[in-house]
Amino acid sequence: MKPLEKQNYYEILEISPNATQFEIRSAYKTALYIYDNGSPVSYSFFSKDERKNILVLLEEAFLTLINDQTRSEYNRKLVEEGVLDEETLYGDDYKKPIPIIDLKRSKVSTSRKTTSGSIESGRESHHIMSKLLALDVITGSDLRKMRMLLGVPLEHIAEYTKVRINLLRCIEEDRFEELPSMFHLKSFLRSYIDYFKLDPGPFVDRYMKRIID
Amino acid sequence: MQHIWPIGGGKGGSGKSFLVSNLGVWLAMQGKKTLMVDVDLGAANLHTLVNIPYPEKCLSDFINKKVDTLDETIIETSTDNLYLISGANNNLDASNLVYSQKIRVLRAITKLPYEYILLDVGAGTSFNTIDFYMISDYGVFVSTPEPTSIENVYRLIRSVYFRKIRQMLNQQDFKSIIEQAGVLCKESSIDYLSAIPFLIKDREPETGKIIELMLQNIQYRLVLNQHRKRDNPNLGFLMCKMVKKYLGIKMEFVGNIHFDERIHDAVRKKVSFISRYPYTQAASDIRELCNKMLLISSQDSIAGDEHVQVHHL
Ligand SMILES: Nc1ncnc2c1ncn2[C@@H]1O[C@H](COP(=O)(O)OP(=O)(O)O)[C@@H](O)[C@H]1O
Ligand SMILES: [Mg+2]
Repeated sequence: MKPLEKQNYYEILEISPNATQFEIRSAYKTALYIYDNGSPVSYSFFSKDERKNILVLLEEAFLTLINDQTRSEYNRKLVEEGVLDEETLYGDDYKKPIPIIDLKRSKVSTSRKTTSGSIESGRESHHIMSKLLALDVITGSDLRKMRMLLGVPLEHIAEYTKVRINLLRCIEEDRFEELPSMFHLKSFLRSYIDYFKLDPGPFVDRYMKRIID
Repeated sequence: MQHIWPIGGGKGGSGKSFLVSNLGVWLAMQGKKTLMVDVDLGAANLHTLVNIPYPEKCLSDFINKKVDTLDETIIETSTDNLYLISGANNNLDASNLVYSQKIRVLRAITKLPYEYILLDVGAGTSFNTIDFYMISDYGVFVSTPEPTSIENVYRLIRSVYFRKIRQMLNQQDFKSIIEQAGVLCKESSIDYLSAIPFLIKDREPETGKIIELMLQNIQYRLVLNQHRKRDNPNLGFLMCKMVKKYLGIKMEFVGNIHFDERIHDAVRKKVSFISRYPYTQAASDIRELCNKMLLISSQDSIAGDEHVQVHHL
């Protein structure tokens, strides 16, 4: 067995990487029942310190995963470390384009495993999303934020748009000089936005604004 | 095919003998030729539970070599198909059994022609108790939902498992592995016990493989007796999960047996509870968990694992 301190938060709570908030909560509740000081289940099983460590880790795991923002940051970290791949994180249904507009009717959050089933967090991401959409100037990192918020792996966009993933990365990281031409940039950007079923026109304009300036 | 189920638990009074006698009756009622062996030599009760107050022969006759073969000590009970080797009349101090005596008893048990052999191994983690778990991969552990009982059952499981590994290694290797495990588990949260097989494999891949295979065959079962309404019905399931997760031991929770005052009445009157009160919740619990254990055994017999146990003697 992997020692607890080497396990990731999903392993610690014994849930899958695309667990819903409900699942996270109930996993935490079960874990507390098992490891809490007065629990008969683990009575005499651990030393005082071991138990304390386990409880601290569990709380850390729970607090990180229950919050959409900290969770997606944590997910990104796991993906970067190669612990998780984006596929397992989001499942197959993400290959299809995702209409952002539906978010307003909070459909996305129910059809999605990553964002929670709870209405509050749906509202929260909606709030962040509206702020993004209202920006006057849009940067690559805004696009990336939007994508992460919706829990879309870049691979899926690459597959849909048929644009190579490292080129898409250039857009998200504002390294336009590495793209073949301004024309390419615009066209890639258009496809990227199209994936989210948004009107590409205004987006492209707002993105290009900085470059032209 | 012979199935040996050692049935024990860390604490007196948790209901091991009661369970053995009722499982015995139930198996026999289903036409299975069943033998109960009372190896709880210091606190033998089984004869009383099946209403044989004065057993005319017993296990110590074989130990003392009063008789040559173990099957000469078998007595019939009033239930068809159900037989008993009593632990009564034991003037030997059980813990004084020398190694060769124990081996002789264990070997003799594995040769008896019964379909099911239930061993009432009694409480505690003494050398003798653990020995009787060595002849089977299907040890049954009985606890009540109380922390005292749970504590002792965990202790027993660890001791049994520890001994299983230990008997595969020579003293010197074992000692140094233990030291290494001690250091390792200070450095990380990994359990001492679960670290040992890995360390062995690291050091001696050949032996490590054999031990790994042996451990894979283990399929323990947990019974929680005297379950009351306010107890969490999932307690046993979660305990098994702990044992699997931290010790790497496969253990299946086979069920709760409800607390029932009538069990006391049945014991007092020396009648079998399951025949006298067949329609109670507790009786149905016993039948259900017995069937569950039968199912596990039959699956394992198909896989042909059951005989592995005897080599290690
Ligand atoms: N499920 C139960 N409900 C009520 N009483 C029980 C139950 N199981 C056992 N007992 C009581 O506990 C007593 C001790 O059981 P016993 O099988 O002799 O324990 P052990 O062999 O574990 O020491 C029994 O005589 C019976 O009165
Ligand atoms: Mg007893």
